Amino acid sequence: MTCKELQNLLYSARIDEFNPTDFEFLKHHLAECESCAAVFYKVSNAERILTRIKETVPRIPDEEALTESIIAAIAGFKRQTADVRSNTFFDRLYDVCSMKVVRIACTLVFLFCIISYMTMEYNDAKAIVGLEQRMGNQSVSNRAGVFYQDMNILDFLHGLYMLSNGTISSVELTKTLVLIKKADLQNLLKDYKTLDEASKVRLNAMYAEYIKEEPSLPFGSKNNSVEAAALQNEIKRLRMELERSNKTKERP
Amino acid sequence: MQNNIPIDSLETLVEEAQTGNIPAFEKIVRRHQAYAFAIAFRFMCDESDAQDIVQESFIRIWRHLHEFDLGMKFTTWMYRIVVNLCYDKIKSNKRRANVFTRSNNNPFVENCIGHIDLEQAFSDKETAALIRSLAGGLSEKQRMIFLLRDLQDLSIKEVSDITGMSESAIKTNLCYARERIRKKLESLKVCQ
Repeated sequence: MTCKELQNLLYSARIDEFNPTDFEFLKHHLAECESCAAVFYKVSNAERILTRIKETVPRIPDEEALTESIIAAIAGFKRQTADVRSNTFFDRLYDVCSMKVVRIACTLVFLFCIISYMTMEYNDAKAIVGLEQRMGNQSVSNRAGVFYQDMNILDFLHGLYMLSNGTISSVELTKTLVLIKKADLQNLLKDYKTLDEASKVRLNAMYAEYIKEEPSLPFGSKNNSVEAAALQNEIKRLRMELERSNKTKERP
Repeated sequence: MQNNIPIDSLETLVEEAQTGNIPAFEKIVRRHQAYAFAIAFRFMCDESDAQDIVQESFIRIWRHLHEFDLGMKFTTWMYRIVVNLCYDKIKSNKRRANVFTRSNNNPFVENCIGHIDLEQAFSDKETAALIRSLAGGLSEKQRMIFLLRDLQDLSIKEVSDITGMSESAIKTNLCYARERIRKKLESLKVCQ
């Protein structure tokens, strides 16, 4: 052990905490080294003062008064013993909630709910991003049309509105509705020959409405306008067929 | 107040107190309030604060006595409560905390120490002045560790149980605190 190490030890440890080897070294070394002996002298003096501080046990000015004030304070409390605590429902509930297992279980359930919710939100966001990427170049009407197959009209309109971030105009909405009607009409015409009277009446009404809203066509797309024109011709042909059929029925 | 506890061992008193027996608890208070006061006084260096802490400690002990595990040492549990309240008091009392941080160059303290007669027993005020001066520059934890180990003579294990720190951390902080305090004593020239 060097002088520096011994001096550090003298400052940081008490003599009674020295291990036997260090103590033996200290005894022999102090006789030879003036520097370490000086440090030992200073530390011993410091230790003497600290011992004196330790021996000076602070005394409570009025022990009796302090005891009485403590007892008076606790006498005012409800006795919180285990028996008393378990008497009421809320005390029992408190005891149960204080249990470590219950606290851990509640934390786990809470974490599970949070993680599930976050996962659902993440999946939704992922689906929307995928959809956006797939239909980035499509019009809002066409984008909304993707959802139409599995939705009712209200869901569809809501989806359309959300996809447009609330910026969709009434013209765009009208165009979309006409597109829906056109699609309905196409489906109807596909099976025209097997239609009953009620369906034929509905077809006429839809056609009339379709014609009425036709000025807003062809929706800015060449394909749409060709399709609309073909549809228009088809409908006219069917109407004529319908009128002929009606005239035949009217003859006696 | 009736005081009819037949056996006076600490364990019995604690068990009795756990059932709501106030006289038993009063005996515990009488037996241990001086120790609690010593810790609080040496840490806070203020008589009034120390009394407040002792009172609050025993009230807290009473309120949580049903949670006390009889397999544990009662005094360790009690010291832990006192120590925590000391920390709380220091935190809530910024003025006092500032006194501690300034104490290195506090002329009042220096003057007070200059008049201490090392050959006679210290008064409480002299002790407080000395501790306040010596503890200047130490963190609250270092001060508490030094106090519990070197002034209250508790073992490293007990200090560890009370403060919740590991034994190695206790030893490291204790070495640092002792070195600072001994060098401080040198610089105050009370060792010569």
